[in-house]
Amino acid sequence: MKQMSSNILLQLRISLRDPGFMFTSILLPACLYWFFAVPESGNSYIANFLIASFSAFAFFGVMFLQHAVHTSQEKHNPWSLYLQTLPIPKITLFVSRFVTAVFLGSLSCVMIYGVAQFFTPSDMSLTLFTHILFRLILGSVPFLLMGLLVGRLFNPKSVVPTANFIHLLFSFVGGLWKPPEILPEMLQKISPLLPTYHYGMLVWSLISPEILLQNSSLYYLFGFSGVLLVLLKLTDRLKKFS
Amino acid sequence: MSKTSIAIELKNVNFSYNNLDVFKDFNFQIEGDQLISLIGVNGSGKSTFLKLLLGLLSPRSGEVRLLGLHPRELKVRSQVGSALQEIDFPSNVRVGEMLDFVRAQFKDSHSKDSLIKDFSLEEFKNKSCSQLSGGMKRRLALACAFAGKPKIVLLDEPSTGLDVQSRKQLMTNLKKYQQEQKALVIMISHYPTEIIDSVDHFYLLKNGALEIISRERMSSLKQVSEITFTSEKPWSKVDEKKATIKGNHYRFLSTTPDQEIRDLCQQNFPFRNLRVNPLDSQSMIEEMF
Repeated sequence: MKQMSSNILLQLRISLRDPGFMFTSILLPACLYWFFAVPESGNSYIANFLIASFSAFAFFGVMFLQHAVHTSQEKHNPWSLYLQTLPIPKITLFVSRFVTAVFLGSLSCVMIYGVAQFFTPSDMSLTLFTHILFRLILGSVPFLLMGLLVGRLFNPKSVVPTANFIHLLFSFVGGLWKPPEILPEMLQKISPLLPTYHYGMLVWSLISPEILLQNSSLYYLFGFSGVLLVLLKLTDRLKKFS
Repeated sequence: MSKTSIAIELKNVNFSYNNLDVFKDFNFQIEGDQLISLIGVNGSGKSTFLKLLLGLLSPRSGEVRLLGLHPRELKVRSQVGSALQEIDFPSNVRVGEMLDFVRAQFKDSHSKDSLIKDFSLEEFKNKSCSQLSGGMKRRLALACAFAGKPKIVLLDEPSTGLDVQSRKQLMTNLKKYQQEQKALVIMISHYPTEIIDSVDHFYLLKNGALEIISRERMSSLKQVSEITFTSEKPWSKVDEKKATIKGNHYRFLSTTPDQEIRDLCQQNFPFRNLRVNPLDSQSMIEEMF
């Protein structure tokens, strides 16, 4: 427990004291929400829908980017190498990173919720917002695995632009910026093929009575996680042979 | 750790880097309770050797064992302290916070205050790591290496960036710690002649093998000087002095430079541009081994 809490505390200190991280991961989603979603939030339903969408965008970003960057740096960064010489169980490192990402992702969503309360006609209760957060946390596992995979495949220099590109592309095409039904027709066809679409379904179904959380979305997220696990195992094996 | 127990063992280790064999069927074992210095020319594999011991690199084949276990076992890692050649700390974490973090990873650890005092970090304990100079970062890395009261300490050029006084202080602390804890300390040093009195043995890493070098041999190298001069006439003592010639430039090494110059003068040998320089440690290793 002492190890776990010290790891979480250190990672929070590193992240929260880094202006670059704070801006891109915590403040930027709220800024983007302000610029693009607030003007569209004509009534409470649309406002609530966009809070859920942008919260999914923010949470996905933190979970995916944090793990991609950490994993990529592990083999190259002297600090990461030093960490590997300490008697820290892998599971402790992994859980502490996950807990840190959950905290930071939640903080990012709270910023969006705060902006919405001031500038939109949203009537989202704290209970509903907490429910949304809960679903975002549970549904973020595939993005954590996606971060691990991207982190293993790209070096520390290329991982940041690559991961940011994937984050923005998946968010936009998955319907986290604009509802999938108002995307261009071609993107509407691609949208359900992406995990972000099904991640969005987890929270949209809490806002709109017309959107039902289909089992297919849950199966998709489970299946996608399974594929990523297989790919991660494969990269492990390839690394051993190389 | 008693001296008779094997602290480190490498069996038939093969390791190559960029298709170049660094270790080929490498065998080595060493007992605890001693302070040893690893020397060798640049690129001889000293840092690779330490990384293999730390489990940061894996041999292509063969076995590496620390205290009888694989280096990546947590039981081993809880008894090993290390400071690698390249050091870096998260820039926005303070020195005191960093020591708290490292101490929290061990069941038994030195107090933060004693680490700060022993490694002269008092002035910097509230500063963030980004504000530290290279030498201060090195001190913090050393404090972290000793935080968990390790039985095996692996240090890669721990004195880099430290001034002469700090290097002396470091060796005093290292020796004191090693004797009190009966630990095995292995350090790669760029200044082997400065640490002769503190070190139990020197190991020379050359062509993928470790050879023990006595302290007496290292002491004799302390006074090696490089003598260079130019002369238009051929010098008859070239072979005897193992001198190298480039055009009319002569160069050779000697532990008795005064005597050599007297001899040159007594022979009435015409020379000019005479220079006598003490050989630095790294050049000495390259020249002598």
